[in-house]
Amino acid sequence: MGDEFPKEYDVIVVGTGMTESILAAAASRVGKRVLHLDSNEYYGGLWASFNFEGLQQWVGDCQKPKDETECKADPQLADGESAIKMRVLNPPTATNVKEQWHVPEAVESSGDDAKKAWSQEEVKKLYRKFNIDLAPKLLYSRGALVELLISSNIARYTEFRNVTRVVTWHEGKLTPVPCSRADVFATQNITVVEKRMLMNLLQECTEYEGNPEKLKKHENQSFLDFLKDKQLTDNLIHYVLYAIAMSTEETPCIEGMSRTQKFLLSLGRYGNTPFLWPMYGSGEIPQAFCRLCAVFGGLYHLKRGAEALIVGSDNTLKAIHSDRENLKSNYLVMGLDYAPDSFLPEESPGISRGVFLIDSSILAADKEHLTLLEFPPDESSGPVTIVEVGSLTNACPQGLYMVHMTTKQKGSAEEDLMSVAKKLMNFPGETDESKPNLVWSMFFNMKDTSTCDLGANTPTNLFLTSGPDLDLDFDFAIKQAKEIFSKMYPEDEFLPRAPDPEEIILDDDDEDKQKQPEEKASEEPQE
Amino acid sequence: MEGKAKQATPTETAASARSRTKRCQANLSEIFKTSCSSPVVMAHKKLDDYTEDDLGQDQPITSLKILVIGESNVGKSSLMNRFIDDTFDPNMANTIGVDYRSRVVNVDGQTVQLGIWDTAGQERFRTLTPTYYRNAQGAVIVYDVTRRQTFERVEQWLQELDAYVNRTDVVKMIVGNKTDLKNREVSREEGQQLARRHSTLFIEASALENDNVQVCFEDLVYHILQTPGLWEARVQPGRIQLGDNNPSLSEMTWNCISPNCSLL
Ligand SMILES: Nc1nc2c(ncn2[C@@H]2O[C@H](COP(=O)(O)OP(=O)(O)O)[C@@H](O)[C@H]2O)c(=O)[nH]1
Ligand SMILES: [Mg+2]
Repeated sequence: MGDEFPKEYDVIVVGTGMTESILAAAASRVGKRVLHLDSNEYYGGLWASFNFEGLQQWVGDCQKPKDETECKADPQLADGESAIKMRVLNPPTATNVKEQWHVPEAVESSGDDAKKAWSQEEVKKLYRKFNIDLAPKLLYSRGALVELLISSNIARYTEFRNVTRVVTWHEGKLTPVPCSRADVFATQNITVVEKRMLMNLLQECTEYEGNPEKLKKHENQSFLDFLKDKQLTDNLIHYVLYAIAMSTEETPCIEGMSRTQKFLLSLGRYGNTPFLWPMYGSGEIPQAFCRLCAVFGGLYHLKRGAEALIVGSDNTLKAIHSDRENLKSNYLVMGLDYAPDSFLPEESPGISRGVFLIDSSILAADKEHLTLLEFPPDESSGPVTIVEVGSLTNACPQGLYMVHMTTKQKGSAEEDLMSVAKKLMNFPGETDESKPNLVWSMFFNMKDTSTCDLGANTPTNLFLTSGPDLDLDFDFAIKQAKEIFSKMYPEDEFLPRAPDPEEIILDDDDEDKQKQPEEKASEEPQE
Repeated sequence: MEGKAKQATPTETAASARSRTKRCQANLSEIFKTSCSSPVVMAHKKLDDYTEDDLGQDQPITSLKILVIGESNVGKSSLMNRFIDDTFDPNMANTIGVDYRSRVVNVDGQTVQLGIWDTAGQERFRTLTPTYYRNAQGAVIVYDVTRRQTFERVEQWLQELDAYVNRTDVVKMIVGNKTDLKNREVSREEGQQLARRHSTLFIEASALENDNVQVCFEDLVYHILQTPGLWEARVQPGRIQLGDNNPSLSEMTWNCISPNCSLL
């Protein structure tokens, strides 16, 4: 069987990022004919995760000069149609990419030393043991993605681990934050009086919505002022403000309370912190949606994108031109990283990312932890979201930890993150025994397109989708996918539960047999 | 259907054969077309079907994940369907809505719940997601004995399998399918040699004639059960599948009444 495939679709989706993949699954699930393309040879686009070798290739691609030439495409056009040529295969839209080793190429095995001395050779040898995320995210245990995975039954393709501790940086060192009731009582870091204050405050945050009177009072207050009004000690204010509400000094009170509530509501569902981390990395999540799309008949082709878009005189998209063929579609969903320049928003803010391999945890303990650290803002940097994962998540080989840092871009990623990195790990030449040694690091910037107006310049049946945003969870992508889906198919349910295979028992009645041919003719993609 | 059930292999218990006949011939392409109103009969989970007689006395069930890979049109879905409910549908358009199919078998005195995962057509342009491969204990790599080019792709499928399966001891079976056809392009010996080179199991089969299909999967299961550490450690502590709400954890939430509350 050759590359022969149907020429007409209900929806063509270009790009396998998060929002695109959710939409592909949702459309396929309700019986739409879906073609899903990605010009990369891997899934996920800017949401991908790579093994060590795959990452090297990605870095290499990013460092190639941006190719501004247009695709050579000469699509057949009908009357009134025009073609918008796309850029030659888009380079990954990451900038300021800097990858660096901090250990020698090879080392003599040092015998019975307690701490393994890593070398580049050894890390490279274990390349398959890595799953390095471009856009690492955590899921709130009662957040939008968890609920969607369960309600759509896509959960069966995914596996998670619970974040085992939430840590904060306070008075120049790392401290675990008590976040469950049990933790609060177990912790030595706060006094009994403080415990009581904390419990009362958290209780209030879980109930604030039912109390409009009280809410009014705090309308114009910052969350920090609210906490201070409560006479909390500095210690507790720090825990609640930075680690639990993941806020800053400016965060408005209501927002701080709502963030605290979100944290508390997700506690205890799967473990003693509110967060889940996907096994094999966040890059698994878009793939799980792609699998559902395929299971319901969606057609997949990687290493294939669109060279041109064919637009009619009424400013609607008619078809895409891909690999010398015109593929008609009623709708086109396209990741912003693919969009022709004329569709792009003017400016978008940026994200600074850092990935670090270290030889022990940033906060050593007697077992392997999965750690979330909201690093509070200081003079030199904004708040930085830090996730440390170990080998139990299949993110990296045993004996190594991987640290992901994410913050709003001000300068380059390296400038934005270096001061925090220095606080947490030993760079070459430094020998603080309480800190892990840095083995390898990578910095890069990408655009945060979640705040852009994407509909402005596009044909009416073309929907652009954003790349990764700064939030911890996937809420934004889900929201965007739902909005687009309801514009395309307002009558259809968004990702109704897919039956388990065991539940699929079809009636073999004659009645059904008679119905079948018509349905096939109208809805089945022609093979 | 009644007649076909008798073909169940000796290793399978009578009860499981009986319960398989409960399922009608499935026309799977129907399932999503009319979305929720499609003629799907929701039945309750298969374990209900199997409980008493099936599971032997108090034997624990081992669940295994088996992948079926190989080029398009070699008969992967047909082999799966033949094995699961002894059907063969030459007009089966695609296995729409079906992710995997499962069946309880008894191999070597052990009751095993086999989940056989279909490619969902994603193999067509070699676009299987790495996710598909995760946590598999066995893989069936299929080629069509009448199309040489599908045989030549087997090595690439083995490579892809090695790249994504997260362990090295996954049991592999190479299957030359469609032996009922006359126009062979690949001899049995060539198939055997390939399997020997890659240290995999080998069998020739016909999904159409139900030749060697049961044996193929059962042999694979047998070898998985013989591989120490491959199947026992299925449940790894700390791994979470969503939807398992663990009630014992609820005491960690704030709204509960725990004995510690008296401190407040
Ligand atoms: N003659 C013959 N045809 C088969 C056999 N197995 C499958 N087929 C046919 O080969 C085609 C492809 O089968 P299918 O199971 O869809 O292949 P898949 O793409 O690998 O899942 C269908 O037309 C089947 O009816 C077999 O053993 N013998
Ligand atoms: Mg198939």
